[in-house]
Amino acid sequence: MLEAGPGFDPVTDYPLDKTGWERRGFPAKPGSQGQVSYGDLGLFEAENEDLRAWSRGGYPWRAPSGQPRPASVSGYSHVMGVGGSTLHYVGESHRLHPDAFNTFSKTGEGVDWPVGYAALEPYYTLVEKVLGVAGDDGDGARWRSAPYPLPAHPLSPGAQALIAAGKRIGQGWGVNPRAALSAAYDDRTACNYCGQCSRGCPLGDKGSTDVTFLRQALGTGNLQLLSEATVIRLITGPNGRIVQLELHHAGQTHLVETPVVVLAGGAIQTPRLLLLSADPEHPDGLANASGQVGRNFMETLNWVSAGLVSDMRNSHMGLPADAIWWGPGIEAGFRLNHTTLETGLNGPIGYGTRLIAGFGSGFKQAMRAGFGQALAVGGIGRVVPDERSRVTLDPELRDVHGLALPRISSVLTPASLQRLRHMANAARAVLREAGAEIVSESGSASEFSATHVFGTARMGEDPKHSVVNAFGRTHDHPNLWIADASVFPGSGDGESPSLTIMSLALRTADAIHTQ
Amino acid sequence: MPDSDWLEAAAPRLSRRSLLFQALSASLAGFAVPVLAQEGQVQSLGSLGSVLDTLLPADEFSPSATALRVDQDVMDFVAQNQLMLRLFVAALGWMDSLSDRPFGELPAQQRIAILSAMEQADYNQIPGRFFHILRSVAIEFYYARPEAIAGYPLSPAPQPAGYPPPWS
Repeated sequence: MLEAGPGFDPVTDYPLDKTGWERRGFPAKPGSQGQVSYGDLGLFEAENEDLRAWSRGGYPWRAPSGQPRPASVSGYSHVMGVGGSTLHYVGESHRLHPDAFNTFSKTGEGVDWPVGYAALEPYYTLVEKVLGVAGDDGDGARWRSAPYPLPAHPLSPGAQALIAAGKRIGQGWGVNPRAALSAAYDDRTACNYCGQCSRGCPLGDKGSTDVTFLRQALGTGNLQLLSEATVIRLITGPNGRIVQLELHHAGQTHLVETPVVVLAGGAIQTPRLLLLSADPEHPDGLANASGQVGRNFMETLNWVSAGLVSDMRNSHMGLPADAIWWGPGIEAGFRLNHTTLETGLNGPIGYGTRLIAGFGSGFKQAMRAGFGQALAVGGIGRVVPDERSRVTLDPELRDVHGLALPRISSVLTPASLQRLRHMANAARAVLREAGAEIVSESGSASEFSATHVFGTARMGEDPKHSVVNAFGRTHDHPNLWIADASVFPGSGDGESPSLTIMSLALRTADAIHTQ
Repeated sequence: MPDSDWLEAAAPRLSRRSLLFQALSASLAGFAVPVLAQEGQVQSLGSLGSVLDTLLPADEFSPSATALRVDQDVMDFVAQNQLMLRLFVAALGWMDSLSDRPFGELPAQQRIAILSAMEQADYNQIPGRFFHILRSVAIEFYYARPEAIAGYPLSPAPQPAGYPPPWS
């Protein structure tokens, strides 16, 4: 296994036992962030002023409407390293709704998948077992062939408030399945609720792939793992087969022969490598006879509203993202979750720079009185790509290897913006019902910010309109497979994608083994 | 934000407006405070300490900003960015010029009034921009210190104990 980024040591790299913890995000190491550039991100239009980011305690600066939508500071937020973005993910473990595989048939939006829930269900069950997912079994349409491996976590004060408020206004909130151990499991200790999943889990109870799949694979003795090894080109031979990889490692360039290649670089780096590997036989890049490599890019349609609830206590305690409302149905295409801790409202700096304005002794008193009263709701929704949404090679900017950077263009359609508005209004409604005064909001309308990205090597049965088949094998190269979210034909209805990525990858592994 | 992203956020936005700020800085050049600096370091920056202690004064629970050496943290931060340093020099100089005495020698009520006016000022002018950047920077450094959160329902760090239930 070749990993472009470095390895992380949970004990030394995630110093959550040191003071000043709130100033440190997930650690950046040399090579742990892939450079990207941005193309067309659309405009932030005046008609979407109600979706503008703002906060009472933050900067009062406002970009004028009608201007290009900027990328946020985090932009395409990811980790390049052993374990990838599961190292900083919060660990929501969602199965796609069965109808999300048939979005076009059900709603007329997007495209249908060439694989359905029933085919993936055994793999979902296996992934949940490897990660140690904690949940309850009331997932409705997401039927299960086995119970969750671990019981659900106790609900945080914020989750309890949202479940109660949601019930009063017709939002059926419940337990969010989480890849964090509610009891000791698989030689890993139980979560102690430090609330910092996104900063890296020093206990190893979060189900990131370094402490689950990779640990088990390395334990077999059959896996060789080489980190800080950047593949820069795939080289084809007869019949379109990939015969060699060209890679940089430890300051040298190597050529490695391979019978099978599985790409898992994510929806940005996977199409980039395919495009960078163009040769005379494949002038538009590998696996790109359809012209679909890099197209159909889908960002994370996201929203966060946060407020203060005067009778709330200790909202900074509990498991992040522990409650969810799956939304009003497939037409709506979104879900909400409890995001107080995940969004960083679990320390005083988050309060002082976002929720509480002012200065002086009055400010300090307000901080002290208000701490533990934050309550935040996040939303993620379905994205259908605009024609302009794609990943291409930057015509000018190069990385340290002299290779073109991936350039992200992503334009939200009117339907996506309308969905965002529904999400925002639903989030505001449940917060207000819970007694919150809303003091901070942010979302995709006024800034591009994406952790879940999809679609740039999409799966389909028709080689004219897709890059890989239903098992992840590229249509154009018999030994080139893709196992990441670039193969997603749709973004789902707001489900976090990690469980589906891993399940599809196991299905791909089975297909390779069978072949 | 869960980390120091906002520090990075401030800098590029300033960069995009560097021409505006250069022009404003030039117009305020007469107010510039003496700054004791060498490459990559700032040892003294006018009334910075007084401004910080007006933003974050001592109270019955926790010390003032300068008692926790937030002034040094801020100077270390400012020293990393020449544009930021110019903003601080110009703004602090302007604040010291508002009366016949430097800002730090003014009565508390007057210091608070000046900062309140800056808080409401145009963010694209030096007083408003300086106030909000300094406030955010100061809060981040101040509340990173365990002494600042004495009495909060927080441990100095989330690990190794975590926050096991019950939580009510």
